[in-house]
Amino acid sequence: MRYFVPALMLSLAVGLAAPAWAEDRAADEARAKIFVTDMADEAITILKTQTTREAREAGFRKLLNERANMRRIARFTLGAFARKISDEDFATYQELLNELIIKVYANRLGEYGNEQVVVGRSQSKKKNFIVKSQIEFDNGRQPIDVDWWLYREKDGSFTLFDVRVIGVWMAQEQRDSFASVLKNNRGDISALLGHIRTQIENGDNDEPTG
Amino acid sequence: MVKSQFIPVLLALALTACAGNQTTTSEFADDNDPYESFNRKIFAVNLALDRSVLKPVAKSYLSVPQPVRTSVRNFRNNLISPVTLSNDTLQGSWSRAGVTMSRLLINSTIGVLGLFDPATAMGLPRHTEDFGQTLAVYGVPEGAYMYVPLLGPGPPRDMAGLIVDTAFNPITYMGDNRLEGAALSFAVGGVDSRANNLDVIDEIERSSVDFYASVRSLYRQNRESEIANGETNLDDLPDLEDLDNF
Repeated sequence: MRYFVPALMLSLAVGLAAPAWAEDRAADEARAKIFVTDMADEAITILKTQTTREAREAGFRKLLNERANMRRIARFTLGAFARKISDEDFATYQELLNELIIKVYANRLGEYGNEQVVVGRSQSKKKNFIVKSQIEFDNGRQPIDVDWWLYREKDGSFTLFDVRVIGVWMAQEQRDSFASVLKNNRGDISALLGHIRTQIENGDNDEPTG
Repeated sequence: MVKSQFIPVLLALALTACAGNQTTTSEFADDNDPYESFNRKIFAVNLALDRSVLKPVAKSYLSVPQPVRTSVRNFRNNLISPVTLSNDTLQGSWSRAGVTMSRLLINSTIGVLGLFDPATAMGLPRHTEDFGQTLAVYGVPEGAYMYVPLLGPGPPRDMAGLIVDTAFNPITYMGDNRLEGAALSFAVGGVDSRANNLDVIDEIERSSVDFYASVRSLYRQNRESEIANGETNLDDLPDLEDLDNF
């Protein structure tokens, strides 16, 4: 009996708190889905309405700045090396990475624009949210599975961290290729920055598809 | 469907790199590529073969009308579906085995010997399983990353899987020489996938700072995803909070 009252109070507290926690979680997952739907709509609108490369890149630059936490992505794609380089080098790297992503995706997505993103279920753990979706094409092409990894910031807002296309996380792929360049250049960050600059220039010289 | 096409694409990519000097440091141990220097040489050879043989053949194949190419793909997919069925069963995935069996029955009859794929329209989309995935499900590790001449990415687990799957594949038993059918089937699948992904592969090569490393990452990530049947284990994701604390 001595422990009965505290135990009862505790179980009541847990019993009352658990549904509230579950509701919060469900509300967050619903917000995460809306975030992805809105972001996909914005991207498709850019592809549909902006026909020049410069306009598409400007659209994606704005989208990325508003929707993604680029510092975190830059930190992740550089792996352990992020701790070893100067603040100036890291700032240069982040700026170049930003530009590379914009150019790569403005080109890679150039052929798209007439499709629909159908958002599916979501999973979450702590601050991480994975939202599943399928891109459906109107030309009979098989749908593509795309997962969106969102992170809930301290203020409760969501930011995009990574995108998985057909089973491949894009930021992870960048991290692996950057690590390889650093490994083959004995950890020289200037070599990696040079490679990224070259790829950006290549992107400038490409004709956009679509 | 998409996932199943991706492995032949990556195998095709293997026929596609850049060579460089390597130094091994513990910082990069997670690429699981202890034979990288040798693998890059094979990759360079395969890249040359891709440019001189596979890519031109794939471009020519695009001149075949789309409905014919789709039917060739459907026919081949249907013919080799016992490979998926065997591995669905070995993994104890009974519902997925049921889907594969239903697809085989529907597409072989209503789909006119597999030339068409009405099963997908009936809500039975195609998936693939192979013995490499089955071994992974039973806990067999990937083994060191390897590049195989002509075939492409082939760590030991996947190569063992390929051999067993050749035995599961009905095409193996169709020609006078058992390897003829399997080789023909592989070649058709490779050309078809390469043809369908010409722009994608060119774009990946153009935008990557290290094409060899990108292909390795694409292959290994895609295999992990296939083994997990596309599901994400949130426990496996890196801790992003650590990234903010530096």
